[in-house]
Parts: sequence; structure tokens; C-alpha cells
Amino acid sequence: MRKMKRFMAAALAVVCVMGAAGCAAANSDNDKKADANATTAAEGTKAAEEKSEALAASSGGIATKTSSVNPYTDELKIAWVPSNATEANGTAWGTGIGNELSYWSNVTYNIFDGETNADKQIQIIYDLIAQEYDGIIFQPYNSATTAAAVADAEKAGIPVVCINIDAETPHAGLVAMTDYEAGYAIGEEIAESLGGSGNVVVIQAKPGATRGENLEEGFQASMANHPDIKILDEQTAEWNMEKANTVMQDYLNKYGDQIDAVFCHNDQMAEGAGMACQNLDYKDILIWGANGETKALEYIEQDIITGTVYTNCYDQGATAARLLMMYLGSNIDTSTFTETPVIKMPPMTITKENVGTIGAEDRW
Amino acid sequence: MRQETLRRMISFVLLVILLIVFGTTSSSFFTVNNIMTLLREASVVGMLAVGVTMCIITGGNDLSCGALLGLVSMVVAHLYHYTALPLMAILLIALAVALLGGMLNGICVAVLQIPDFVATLSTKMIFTGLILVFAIRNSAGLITTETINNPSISALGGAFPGGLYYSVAAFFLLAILAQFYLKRTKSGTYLYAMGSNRKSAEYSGISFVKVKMTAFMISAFCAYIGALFLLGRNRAAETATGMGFEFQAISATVIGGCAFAGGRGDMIGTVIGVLFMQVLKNGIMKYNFSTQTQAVVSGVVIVVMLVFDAFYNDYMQKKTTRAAAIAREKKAVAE
Amino acid sequence: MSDLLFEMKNIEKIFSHVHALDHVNFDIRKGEVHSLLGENGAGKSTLIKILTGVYPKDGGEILLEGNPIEINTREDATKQGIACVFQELSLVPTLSITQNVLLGKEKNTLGVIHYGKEKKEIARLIKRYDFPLEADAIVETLSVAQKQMVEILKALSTDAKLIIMDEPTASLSKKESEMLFQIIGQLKERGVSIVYISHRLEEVFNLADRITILRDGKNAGVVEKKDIIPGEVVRMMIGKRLSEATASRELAMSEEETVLEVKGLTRLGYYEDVNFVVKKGEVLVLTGLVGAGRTEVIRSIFGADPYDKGEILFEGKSMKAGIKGTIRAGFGLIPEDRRTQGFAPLLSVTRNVAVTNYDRLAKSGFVKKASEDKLGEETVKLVDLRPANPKVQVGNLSGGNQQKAVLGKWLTRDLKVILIDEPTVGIDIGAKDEIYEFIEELAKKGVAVLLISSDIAEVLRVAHRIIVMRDGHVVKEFDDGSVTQEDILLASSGFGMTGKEGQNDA
Repeated sequence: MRKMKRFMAAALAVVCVMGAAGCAAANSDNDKKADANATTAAEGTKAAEEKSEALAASSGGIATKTSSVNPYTDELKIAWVPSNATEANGTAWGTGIGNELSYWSNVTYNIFDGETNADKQIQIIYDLIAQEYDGIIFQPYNSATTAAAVADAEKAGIPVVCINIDAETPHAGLVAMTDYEAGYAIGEEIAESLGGSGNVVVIQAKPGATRGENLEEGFQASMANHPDIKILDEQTAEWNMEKANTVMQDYLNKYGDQIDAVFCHNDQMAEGAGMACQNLDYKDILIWGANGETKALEYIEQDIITGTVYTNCYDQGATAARLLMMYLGSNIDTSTFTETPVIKMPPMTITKENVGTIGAEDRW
Repeated sequence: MRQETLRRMISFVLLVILLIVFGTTSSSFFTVNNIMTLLREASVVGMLAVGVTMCIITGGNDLSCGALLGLVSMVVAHLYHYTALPLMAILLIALAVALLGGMLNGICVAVLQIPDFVATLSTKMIFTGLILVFAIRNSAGLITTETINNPSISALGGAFPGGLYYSVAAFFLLAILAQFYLKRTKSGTYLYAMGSNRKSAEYSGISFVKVKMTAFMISAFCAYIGALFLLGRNRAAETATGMGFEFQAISATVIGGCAFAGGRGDMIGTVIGVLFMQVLKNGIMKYNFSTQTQAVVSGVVIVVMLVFDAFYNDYMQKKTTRAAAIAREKKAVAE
Repeated sequence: MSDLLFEMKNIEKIFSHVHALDHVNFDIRKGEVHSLLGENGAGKSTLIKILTGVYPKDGGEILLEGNPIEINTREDATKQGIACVFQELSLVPTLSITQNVLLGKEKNTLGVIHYGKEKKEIARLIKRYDFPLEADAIVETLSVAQKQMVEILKALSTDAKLIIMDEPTASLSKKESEMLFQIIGQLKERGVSIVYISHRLEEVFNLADRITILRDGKNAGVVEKKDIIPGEVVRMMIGKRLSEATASRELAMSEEETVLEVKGLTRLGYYEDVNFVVKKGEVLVLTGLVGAGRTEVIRSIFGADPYDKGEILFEGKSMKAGIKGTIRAGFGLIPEDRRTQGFAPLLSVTRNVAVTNYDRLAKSGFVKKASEDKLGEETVKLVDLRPANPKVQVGNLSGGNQQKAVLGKWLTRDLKVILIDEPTVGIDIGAKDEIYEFIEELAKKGVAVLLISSDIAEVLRVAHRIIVMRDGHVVKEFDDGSVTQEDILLASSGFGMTGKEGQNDA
């Protein structure tokens, strides 16, 4: 909660700049090509400065809508549509959103599980449009497939704020964990630990999942800096712990001691890979996940896995909720956006040295 | 009364009850928007159900139709992304792919004599694999999803003035055509004959191969039409498109009174079944149940319907035998 | 000669070295009802299957109006004007009468059926023969008799010259049968020939213009209507020696106390008003044709099926309990189809025996393996099982030994009544004798045995008394003096009453 205020400021900044100039903020595509080392906080501060200038300079550039609601008194219905409501991060975001919205007594908050199925999510979005919801917080399972539905929601006057994964259409906003940057950072960490040469295997996300693609791209970009590190193999374990365990066992049987490090597209798969290495007694292999869920942090403490990129999902959910509430209270017409404003959560690279700095209340 | 007429009436009454329950307990159910959305969501699965009904009537099944729908979508997306072919050509190629898929099913079942369940489960895996083959890849070789920005494709996702989506109209049109086909054409009659009593159908000179082939080709065609309208709505195809649709379609078909044993059921029942499934799904979302509760409630309702169907068919079979016997007895006493 | 429609000359058919048909001759005149008679396995159905193109013939020739023809498929048979009204009805239950009659020959334009035209045509056909049918009724809603009429319509719509009817009255009521006979008369008038196959001799003798009798795959004689002497025909069917074979013992009502009594037992649609008693130490045989309702009766007695009316008395007291109650009272059932009902083929002999005895073995729900094994050993000794190994899977035993294992399930119990359904079907002769000895042994121990058998030789071998069932009714009881195969055959084929008396007079 400490960092909340800063992010709120960043959010407001990005949105206003977007609205005014229509192109000032970068969309996710441009963003991931940005310097991976640049922290969001820095961007935020910079943007915040710009914002005050923008606000001062123009008072009519933002497309406005005639009817806006009063967020403090009107009955509002807000929906959270995660990819999967039962997985750790889906639950954490949901809790973060729920905690934030619980301060608003006039807001009804409902969760609609996408059941890791883009089509299910699309159906939910259309149903929410039909039910005249006031705002949607959305974690698309697939960026492209869900785009039309998000566009239709915006057209119907419902701002859609995405979490983590963007829908490929301009909409109210995106609050993202870093993915390209995280992939890049993990690549650099591994390279440093290996002293610039060695062999790496990758356990990939479900084919087609946007987050997996971005992590992979970031990782590949980092690997390009280290020509002596070889990627031995890449297989999917579809986000799944058991499958990752199997894939890792296959890797170990196939390559054995050649493997120096493993990069998994999420923590669950890193946990599965970690267990495989424990069982087959390969304890020197570096294992990296991404997300920073509680179990992964515990495994880092227990030396089962090496590191992860942590994001505070409660914060992330709350940020999305605040951003949405801001739109609902303002007269900004998000459906006229030509690009989606983005808030990036700061990535924290966690290894055994700094895992203790994440307190129990921030674990998810 | 015909066995399925009564059966269908039961389904219909249940659908009406469902509508009344949702209509009276939720203010957002009977709105034009909601009904139009509901019908739209029902339409794609409905189109698959039309095809699946044909297969089930022949005493078979088609577990591959969902994957085939996904494959057709992916082929369109692939060609659109990688080639400069005109849309018409892309759609024709996709149609050819669909029909080849149907033919593959037909060959497995009719010529190679593999049981429908096994055959279509296998072809489903083939289609799923092909989806990955045709999937669009980014520069790193990873699967990605690209939006199809084509006005004609987007137009398919549109609606008539008044809010009725094209896909809904297409679904009903398809169902009406299918009903006419089943009840008024030679080939349609043969589907029933083959499903109800294969021996007697074959003695009457009806070819098992032809009938099965026809049913699977129709199912493939329905998957093709479904894919086009799904593309119209989503404007993109992903690797998971269509997954699990076949089970929704099969459930709807069975709820509508089709018997797995074959020879029974028609489009009126299937349309009722499709609407039943979607009304249930849509209505239950209005209650703010947790995901688990929603899944359990809709699952239980569907399972109860399917179990009821099994018992009902069994019961009717016994009842008919017994009724005939009792009638005979009465006649004998009267004499 | 000129009025001959079909001729089958010197027909031969060999199934794995067995001469199923040995130079059989069979001819059919125009507009005659020609009956084929013979016991089960005499070759009737093989002959018909050759005529209808189901089996290829191994020798001989078929002539149509004097010209040799080839019938290799069913389609060939249809083209030559041969149609079948099947024992197991071959209609499509979910389609209408019109759709069924015209199946495969729909009138259509580009595949679209001329619905109204077809319906009118079938309605006209129905009217011509005055059948009580509606052209657009769905077949599954019809009675068996009506379905048969649809089959006949189907045959007529192909302009059949010859209609083969295989046991057409098997599931018809008396009135329905009479209607069928009228239809047969009409068909005859229109010059259609009919091959009529039935176990019911009474019907055959009334209906047939000629009878061809087969025995053991050979011609046993052809009889014109005016020459029919029922006893003579039966003797042709079963052969002289066997027809005079009598029971191994004098039949008599036992003086012992009554163990089981059945009064007016009725299960609608299966059997009606069945009455009999079984006494201590007695073997009562229920015989009759397959489908006469015998199995259904004993299943009801055992509690496996319900019944609608009547009473079952066990030692004078009314029994209403289900299977559990009857087993506890000391009943045992050895079903007809051993594989599906009598045992679990993949389990060992011991486990199979134990399953029916868990009520005794299991103390508070658990079974001691030792006591199970002991029971297995006991059983193997008792029934003289070969191999004498209680651990062997029952499915791996020979037919006779399987039957013994099933018997063993019950023998170790304190049995009062045992119900046995066709104990020797598919069992070799040696094992048969052993099973008969067991049955006698059981009776001697004071068990009341109720046995179902269609094998007349077997009936005569083991019976103390005999009851003959037909169409769900008890039609004859033999409980004193001697009885011959012929008597039983006549009774079960529906010719018992008049036939036997007639023959006695002669």
C-alpha cells in the first residue's frame, strides 16, 4: 500500500496525457521495445510533470462525454474478468480490486471467471454489456481474440481497464506487470550468474499466450547480448506445474549436466522444474520463474528455485480499480482513445538475498 | 404420441420454466440487449449442434467439430495474414479445408469402420495439431494472435437494425434448412433409417458409407459456417478457438431429444436444447454466484438432463413393450 | 409343371465339414402356401437364407419358372420377386409407415421427396388390402401385428411373387393371427406364393397347401394338404426311433410334502395364470418352445423380476421378498446364459462361489480369506471340478466345468429349491451326463428342482413330472404314466389338445 499514491499519480498522468495529445503515451507494443532498465517510477514521475503542464496548457483537448456518473453516490456495477479466477495471481488481483472497491459503498463488485478460455471471456464481456455494467477490469486470455469484444464494450460506454495483458484495441487503460522487461532482466541475471557462458533451457507458456510471448522476446533480447550462452531447448508446459515437472525431467534425462539454467515463463512451472531437479538431484541448476507468488518466494528461501520477478498483485489490482474509478468520475470518453494508456508495475528481481524484504502482507 | 414429441415437450417446458425463473428474479434478463446477446452467444454452438445432430441421428457422433471450427478459423486467419489472396479465395480454401475434414471423418468411420467416438476423437487431435501448424508466428517463431482487419469479416459480426445479429439469423436459417433436409429429402430420411435400424436400411439398398459421409460433410459445413461468424465476432483466431464447443453442441443436442442410439431427434429439439444451454449459462451469471457455484449449478442441471434422457429412453422402451402386451391382454379378455 | 414358380434342386450347404443341407429339393407353386417343417437345426433357415441370397449355396440350382437364376445377394432376391417378412422385424422404428415401405425407392425430384404423393400411394395400398393402418403413423407406435402388416406392404410394394414368413405368429394374439391368415388368403388370391415357417403345427396344418419336411438337412417328405395326418408329419420331423422314445421313468405325482407352489402367477406381456407345485425331492421340468415364458416364470419366482398377479407359496407361506429373501429362504438359480448371468468369468472359482455365500462368510462386512479358500476347496471336491483347482479363472474352464462351478455356487448352501434354466446348452455329451447325475443327486438330497429345458431327450431323462408352456400359458401337464417325445413336441407346438387325442384314436 505504500507505493499506491505514487501509482495513482502515474495513472492520472498517463491518462491525461493520452487524452490530450492522443499519442504521448506509448502503447504496450512500443513499450516493450523501450529500455528494459528504465523503471516505471521514473516514467511515472516524468509523465506526472508533463501532465501538470498538459493540464495547464489545454482545457478542451480531451474528448468528453456529456453524461458522467457521480462515483461517490451513484449505484455502480463493476466486473472483474480474469483469465482464471482460481489461480494465485487471478485471486490476488481480485482481492486487490475487491479491497479497493470495498471502500466505495455504492459499488457492486462481481467476479466472472474466464476459465482460461478466450471465448468464455468474450461471452462474459458481451453479457456484461447487455447487463449495462459501468466498468470492467479485464485480464484477457488472448489479446487479439478478445479485442473486438473490448472495443464493443468501449463503444457501449463501458471503460475497460486491462490487467497484465492488453487487448489489441485502444481502450481505457492497461495496468501491467512487466513482461518483456522481466524476461530481459531474468536473462541478464542468468548471464551474470553464469559468467556469460553456459547452456539454458526454457519452459514456455501455453502457445499463443501473449504474456509468454513477451517474456520470451525480452529473454531472447537479453540472450542476444550474450552469444556464449546457448539455448539448448524450448518446450511448453502450458503454465502448468505438473507438466513443467515432466518437461524438466525430460530435459534432465536428455541433457543432464549440460544444463546450467532454466527459465520458466511463470512461477508455477518454475516450482515444477525445481521439484524435478530436487528429485533427480541436480541442485546446481539455476531456476528462474516470473510473477513472484508466495510459493515461489518460499521455494527461493528453501533454495529449490533461484529467483523470480516479483510484482505486488494486490497493488496491481488496486491500481486498476482506482484508474477505473477515476474514469467513471471524470467525463473522459475512453472510447475515443486512439491508443491505450499503460501503467507498468515496477519489477523487482527477487533472489535469496532480498526475498526477506517482501513481507507477509505483500505475498500472494 | 411419438416418443420424441413428448420428450421434446418436456425440454420445451423446462426451457420455459428457466425463462420464467430468470425473468422474474433478474431485472437484467428480459432486456432486448440481453436477449440479443444471448441469442448471439447461442448461435455458433447452435450451428455446430445442427451438424452434430445429423451425426447423432445416424447413430454416431462428431467430437471433432469444435476443433474443425478452430482449424477453419485458423486457416482463414493464416491466409489473411501471410498471403495477399482476395477474401473470397481465402473463404473458398477454408471451405475446402472444412469439407476435407468432414471427408476424413467420413472415411475413418464409414470406410475404415472405426467407431465414431474413437475416429472423431482422433481426427479432433489431428485438427488441433493442424491449428498449431497454421498458427501465426512472430519473428521469434512463437505463436501469436493477429487481428483480421477486414470489413467483410467484421460485417459478419454485425446485426440487423433492431439488434438481431446476422449470426443468429444464420443459425435459424441453417436449422430450418436442416429440418427440411431431414424430414423432406431422401438423403435426410436415410440418416434416420441408418441410425434407427442399420440392417433394414442396408437391405433397402441404402449405403452406410454414403449416409455417414453425408452426415460428417454436413457437420463440417456447419463448422465452417460457425467459424465464419465466430471470426466475424472475434476478428481473430487463436489456438484454443472452438475447443470444447463440441461438448456444448452435443449436450444441447441430447437435451433436445436426440438419442445417442440414433434414429431420433430433429432440429426443433436441437434448437430448444441450444437455447436451454445458453439461457442457463446467461441466466446463472446474473446471480453473482462464485465461479465454482456457477459451474456446479449449470453442470448439475446439464447432467440431470442427460441422466433423465437416458432413463427416459429406457423407460419409454420398456413402457412401449408393456403397453402393447397389456393392450393385447385387454383385447383377448374382450374377445 | 407349368405352375411352378421357384424350384430349388439338390441344394447343398456345408458349414465347416457339416452337411447343413444335403441335396435338398424344394419347390413353390404359384399362389400356394407352402410350409417348411423341421426341428431346430433341420436346415429350414439355412434353406431360406440361400433362397434370399444371405448365404451362397455350395451345390444345386435355383430355377424361376423353369429358367436357372443366380441369387447371390439380397438385392438379387428382391429383383427376382422374393420378399421376406422377418421373425425379428426389420423396419425402421422411428420412421413412418410410408417412409418404411418406400425406403430406398423414394419418389423424388433432386432428392426432395414427393411427400404427399407417396403418402397417397401408400394409403391406397393399405386400403386395397384393408389393413388397419395409417400411412403416416410412426412404426414404433404400432403393435407387433401392425408392424408385420407394414412388412407385408413393403414386400407387396416391390411386386413380390413370393413372400417368406418366418414364425409370423410368434408374438401375435389369436385375433391378430387370424387377421394374418386372412391376409395370407388375400395374397394367395392375387397369385402371390407364400413360404410359411412356423413351429405351430396346428396353424401349419390349417394353412398350408403343401408341406415340405426336413430332417437333419435332408428331405424327409412332401405332403399335400389332403394327405396331412398330424402324427405322420411329426414322425417325419423327428424320425421313427426317437418319436417312440419314452421317459426314463414312469411319471408320477410325488407323495412328499409341497415345497413350492405357484398360484395364478401372471406377468403381463410375459406369462399368464401359471399354476404348479414342486414337491420335496422332485424334478419338475418346464418345457416348451423358446419364448414360451418359462425363463420369465422362474425369474419371477426367484425374485429377479416382478409379477403382476398371483401368489408364490414357499412351504405353505406366501413369499414376497426379492432376491435376497429368496436366497436366504434356500432358493438357488442357475441361469440360462452362464456367461452373462451365472458367473464372473475373470474371477476364480473360489471367488465366484464366495460371492453367493458372503452372507454366511462375512462377519460384520469383512471376509476372511481362509474361510473363502476353504469354501473353494469344498466346492471343487463336491462337484468334481476339472482341473481340481479352486484358483483357476472360471472363464478358462470348459463349458461343462463352468456349469459345474455354477452348480457349486449353490451346492455348498443348504438348498431347498433350485431353479435351473437350460443347464446343458453348449455342453458336450459327457459333461451332460454328469450334470444330470448332479440334478438327480440334488433331488435325492430332498431339494425341490424346477428345471427348464427345450431338449426333449433331456426332459425325458431327468423329469419326474413335466409341464408344457406355450405363449405364456401352461398348456399341458404330464404327471402320470409314460410319455413320448412326440407327445411333448405336439403339446409344445400348439397341436397338443386335438393332435394327441386324434392320434390316440388312430
